[in-house]
Amino acid sequence: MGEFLRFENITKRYGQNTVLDNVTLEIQAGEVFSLLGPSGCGKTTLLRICGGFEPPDEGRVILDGVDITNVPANRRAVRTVFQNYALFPHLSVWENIAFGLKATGQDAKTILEKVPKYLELVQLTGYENRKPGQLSGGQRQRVAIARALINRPKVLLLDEPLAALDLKLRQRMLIELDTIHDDVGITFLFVTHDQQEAMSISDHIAVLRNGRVEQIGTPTELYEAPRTSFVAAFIGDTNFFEGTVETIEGDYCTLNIDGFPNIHLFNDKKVHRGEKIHVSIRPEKFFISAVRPEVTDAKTNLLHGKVEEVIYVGPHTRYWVRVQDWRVSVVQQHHGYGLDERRIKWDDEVWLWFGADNAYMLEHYAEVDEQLLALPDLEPEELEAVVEGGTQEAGATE
Amino acid sequence: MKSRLRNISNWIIGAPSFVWLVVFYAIPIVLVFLLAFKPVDAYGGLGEGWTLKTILDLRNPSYPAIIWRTFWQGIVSTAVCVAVAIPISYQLARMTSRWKNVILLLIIVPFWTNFLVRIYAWRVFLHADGIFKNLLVAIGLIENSTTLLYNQWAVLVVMIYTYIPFAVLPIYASAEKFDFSLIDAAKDLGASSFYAFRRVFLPVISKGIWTAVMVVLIPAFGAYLIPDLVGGPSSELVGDKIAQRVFIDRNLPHASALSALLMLAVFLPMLLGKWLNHMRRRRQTREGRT
Repeated sequence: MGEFLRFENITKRYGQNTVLDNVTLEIQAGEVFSLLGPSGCGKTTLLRICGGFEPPDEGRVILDGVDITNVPANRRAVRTVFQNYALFPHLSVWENIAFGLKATGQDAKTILEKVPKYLELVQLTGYENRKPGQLSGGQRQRVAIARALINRPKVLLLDEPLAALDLKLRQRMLIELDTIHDDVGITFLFVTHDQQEAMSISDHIAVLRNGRVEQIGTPTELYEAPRTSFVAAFIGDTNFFEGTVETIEGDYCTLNIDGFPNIHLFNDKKVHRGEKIHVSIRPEKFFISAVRPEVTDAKTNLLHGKVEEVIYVGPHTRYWVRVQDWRVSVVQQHHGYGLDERRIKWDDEVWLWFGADNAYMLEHYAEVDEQLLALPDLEPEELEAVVEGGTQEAGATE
Repeated sequence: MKSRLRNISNWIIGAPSFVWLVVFYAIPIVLVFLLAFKPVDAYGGLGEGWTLKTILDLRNPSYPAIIWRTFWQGIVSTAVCVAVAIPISYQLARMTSRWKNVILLLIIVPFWTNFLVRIYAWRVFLHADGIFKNLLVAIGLIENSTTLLYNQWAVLVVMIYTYIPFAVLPIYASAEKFDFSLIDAAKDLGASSFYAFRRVFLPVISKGIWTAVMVVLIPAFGAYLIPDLVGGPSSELVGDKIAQRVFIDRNLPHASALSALLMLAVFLPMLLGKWLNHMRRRRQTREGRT
């Protein structure tokens, strides 16, 4: 259907802090697009600019071919599901859902017709007369969704809609959100700091960091082909290796990674001999065995190490393996009971191997600050402090 | 056993306040009502037995006008105070805490000066030779012969001035707790700023507004110092009459009857409102169940 919502060179500053720095995004009609990033990355600010609650300092917002940068919030065909839901406490569920219709001056007949339909969509029929205070978190959120959808917006903005729910409920609401999206076919712009949420619901994800777009892509692209170390570390777990290119053989090259001279890699970045590069290898891309495997394929890289840690979590086991100077994280899925011929224990000598196509070269590498990834949700004032710290951190590493 | 112990200790903790309320509020109020039925003796004391004469005396032909004036002045000053206090509170609640404290202080500071001094200041201000009067004459808004003092308008202005802080504080207390993201949400749903203010802000802080109404209306009905000092003979309120009956006529039963009348005038509509609200809520929950 083509481009539908477009953020064009959006810049936003709060005093000294640049919260959004020249952000350009294109969102297709009818898709679920996620803005993913740690606290202070500017994702909520971008959402507020889209909703019309804050003007950008520079740049334009274009919706369906119309520049809406200066259109006030109440005239935009954009609705928001707020993080705290912002339900009107003095109004019943029915009145909350009908609010948008009444505020835009629709007649009583339309209201009587539409409200029950949307109550049904979010499975709240029978709760019409409850006040928000008498609802559970999940129910409140469903009221917020119905209330936002009833005016048939062109875009629905969801600001961390699941953050306030507990884990089980979050997973259920995620499926429900997906169903609602299929039902109404409205473009969803979803803001979250939770990569799993973003991965499971989105058609496309933009990873934001310090007010800049780090990478845009489908969940698979971001996971399998992260452009930078930040994306690789933020979405899932990974291992980083640094090495020097030794030889080039067609589409492949060999890398000297600190004492392992002959690591084969798919050369998708067209690197040259002698170049220093960083590589990301996901833990599940490794195979692990206590017995040395028969490696006949030249594209398979074999490493030898010692198990430092074993964490059994049911469907898979996570190992930390010391391979010379590297501590490698390995995940092995259990495909069947008793399949592992010999159980691997602490301090066991093991063999690791991975295919040349399963390691990915990074365009940009910087030490990833684990603490930044682990930051909890913050209030706007606190957020500014983090942004300040964040930019300093970025300045130091670049 | 344990719960009974807790019950007893609750009683002991609550007892002093309870005794205080009974001795200094409940009993005097009952006394005021009872006094209205006592005859008066020639020396300003209370006579023997009971009588309905005082109640019948309330049909004094000068009273309806005074009662009517008390009512409309009370209601108008309350309405103006609340109408001014709402936007002030709205802005205050949105301010950063530093400015908020400064403004709040400015609102409260007048309380530090004596009430009488403030009223006398108004007398100076509105005086026939006062600055304000001279200014208005100079601009040509009024003629030199117009008097700003000693009429019901002066009473109204000073009453509004006096009671505005009483209206601001409870409304501000509610507005401060108001979640302003609700205004964003209302606008997001297509509401204009005014619609959001009227349909979201006002209903949510309605408790504070009703407290303000009570806090202003009750003293406004009973006001007597203000009409006494800045009003004239044509702007007497019920409060003045009560004071006259006590201090000049030394007719306590009559003063009590007037006080009781005022009290009922405030209390009965309040009870009626409560009852209506209660019935409405009951109807709503019944509808909710079906």
